[in-house]
Amino acid sequence: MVKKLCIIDDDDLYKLLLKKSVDNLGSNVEILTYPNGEEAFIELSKFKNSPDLLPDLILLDINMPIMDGWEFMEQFVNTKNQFKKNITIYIASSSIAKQDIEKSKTYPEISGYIVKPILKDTVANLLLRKAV
Amino acid sequence: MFSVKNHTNLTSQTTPSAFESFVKVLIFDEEVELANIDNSLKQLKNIDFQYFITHDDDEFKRILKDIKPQIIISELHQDEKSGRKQLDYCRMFYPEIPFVFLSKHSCNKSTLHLLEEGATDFLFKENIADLPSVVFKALRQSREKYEIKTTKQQRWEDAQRFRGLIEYSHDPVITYSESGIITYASPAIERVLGYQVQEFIGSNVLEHIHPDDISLRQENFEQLKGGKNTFTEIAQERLRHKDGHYIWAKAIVSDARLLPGIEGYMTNFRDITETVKNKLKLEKTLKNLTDYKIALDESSIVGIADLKGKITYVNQELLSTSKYHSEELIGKSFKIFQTDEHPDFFYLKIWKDIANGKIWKGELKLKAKDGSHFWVSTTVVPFFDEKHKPYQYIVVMRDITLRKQKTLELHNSIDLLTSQNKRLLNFSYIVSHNLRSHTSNIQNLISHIEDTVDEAEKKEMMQHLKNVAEALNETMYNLNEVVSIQSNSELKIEVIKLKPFVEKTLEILKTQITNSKAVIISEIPENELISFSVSYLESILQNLILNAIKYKHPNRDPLIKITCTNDSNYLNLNITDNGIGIDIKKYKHKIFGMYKTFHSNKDSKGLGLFMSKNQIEALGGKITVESKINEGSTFRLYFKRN
Repeated sequence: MVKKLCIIDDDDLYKLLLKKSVDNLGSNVEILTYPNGEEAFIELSKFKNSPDLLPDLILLDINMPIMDGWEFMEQFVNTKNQFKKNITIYIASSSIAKQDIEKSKTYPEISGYIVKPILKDTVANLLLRKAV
Repeated sequence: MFSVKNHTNLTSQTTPSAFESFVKVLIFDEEVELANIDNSLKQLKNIDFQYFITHDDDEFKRILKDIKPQIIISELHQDEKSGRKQLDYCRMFYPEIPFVFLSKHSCNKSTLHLLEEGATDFLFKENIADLPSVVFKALRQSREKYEIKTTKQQRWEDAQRFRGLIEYSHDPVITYSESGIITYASPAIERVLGYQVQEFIGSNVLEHIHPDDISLRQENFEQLKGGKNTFTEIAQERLRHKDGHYIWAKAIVSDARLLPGIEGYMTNFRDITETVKNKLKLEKTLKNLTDYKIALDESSIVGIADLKGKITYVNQELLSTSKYHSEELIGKSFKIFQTDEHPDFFYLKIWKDIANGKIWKGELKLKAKDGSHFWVSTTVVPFFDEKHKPYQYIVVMRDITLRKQKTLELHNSIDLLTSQNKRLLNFSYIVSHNLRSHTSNIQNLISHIEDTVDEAEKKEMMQHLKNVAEALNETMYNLNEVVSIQSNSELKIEVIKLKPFVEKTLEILKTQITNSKAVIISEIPENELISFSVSYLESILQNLILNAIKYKHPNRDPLIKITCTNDSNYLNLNITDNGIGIDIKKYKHKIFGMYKTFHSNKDSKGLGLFMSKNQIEALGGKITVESKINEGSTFRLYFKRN
């Protein structure tokens, strides 16, 4: 069961709706949000030695200002050994471009590609660590 | 039986050569008579006599045969037989030896009769005093006869010799009368013209000359007849061989009208067919070569250089292409045309190749006198001497400047197309991505509205839905803007005066500039003109200046500098700010991308630079950026020169 969820996305409305969905499930999940890859990486790196503070699951958008999802992945892959937690990462993007989906498969660290919108059933499955 | 008496005379040295130093005298008489004769002949002081005397028939004949006397003096005996017999004998076998009778006796026959029978003279012994004159006369006559005979012999031999020279001469000689009838032809005529001598004699000279060459021959002939020269030379004329073909001959015609034995004209000629044929062949080859040269000069740019690269020849095409005068090039090095388009080792390679006798082919960018450039497709061919060593190089060139320009334009077009294509891909990606982000939000909102029973929440969701609709609309509007740039091929292009135009743009942006306390320095020269779209230029300038203000450094007021630089292909407009700068390393590929933003600025939409780039590229220009974080950025606009 996911206890700590991290959303990296610049779309405020999306984040708001996703939070609502999680809340509606009634589960006690803590949610961290970051507006772009750079901020997320800097903040998460601060918790790398504290598994309790690191999220169980990251929903990563691709298209973001300053540092996009792929650049975040580059940074993360380079330093993942320093993170004292096995973090599950899903790409969550509105892009249906094939190149994005294919690219996500090149990262063993990425567990799956979710095309937005993420409706309540998908949220439930994600939190239960079921396949989506 | 016979006695010999030598009479020497000291003056014999001065004796006329007509006489031998010793004149041998054969006497047919009693020995006692010798003294009288010797005594008498002593008067001939210039002649030394040597006497042989006998009275015997057989001995006379023997002496005659052995010594061959110059003169015979004989007694005419009473019976007249003895002396007469000797006379007959001498006349028969030695008719050239004078025979003088010296007799005691008169004879029955008259002196005349004896002379008729062959005696040289007749003298009575009582008149012996006359003997010297008789002997002298006889010797002289004999001498003269001999001389005439030897002269004749000489002449005959000379004639034989000259005839031989002519007859065996390789070159034919003919003689002919004034009317052209051939009177003599040497045997060589058969070798050269195929005629037997006899069939050639009697024909007319003109029959054997090519009809086209007759006038030349007659012209020469008339000149010879009228002029002072005794001969004339015809350098080449065609003569017909007996079998009908023509040969080339060189002829010398001599006027021999006053020459005994000819009394007409003489021509000796030489068969020069081979020479003329070779000459004609050579002339044809030469003509061909000249034609090739003309063709080459007309079609190509041609220069010739010596082993050191000094120019020794330039054709008109090279002069007009390079804009030099001939005297400015001859003697100069071919380096005069070099540009820095090609590195030194490139030229070294050319020199190495041609010095080794190889032909070099390639394309060169050369410089004309006025500094302009031209491209040539070049072939350098070494010319070899008889030792097969290069002694000069011919450089044959073809102007390919136009082709090069076209290729360059083509490359530019391909680059433009490639980048446009790339942008288009990016665009389609962005479109799907951005439109999808709105639609996915709409789907999500609807799902929430359906699921909730809380009216307040429904209302909130509806408000979000409205916002999304607006954002979607704006995105659609922006996309439409972008599409209209990329497809606008009928843009209105005007000549724009850059300085006033920039000033006008700054005036429009006055409020933003004043509010941000920005200082703007515009250093654009007067009269700088560009051809561009007014609306695009306005959009680009506003965008860049507003960007410079928007991304100002938090610690200082914006300072924006607008300058102008030039290169041969473009006019550059540079906009430099002292803002926060962009991490070029990080964002190299994104700066001008659509919906790419690099700052967490709420106003950035990631559209401005994408639009500016598309606008300037739509008109053949380009835009680049240099930047340092916390120091500022310079955007460089390249406007294509016409």
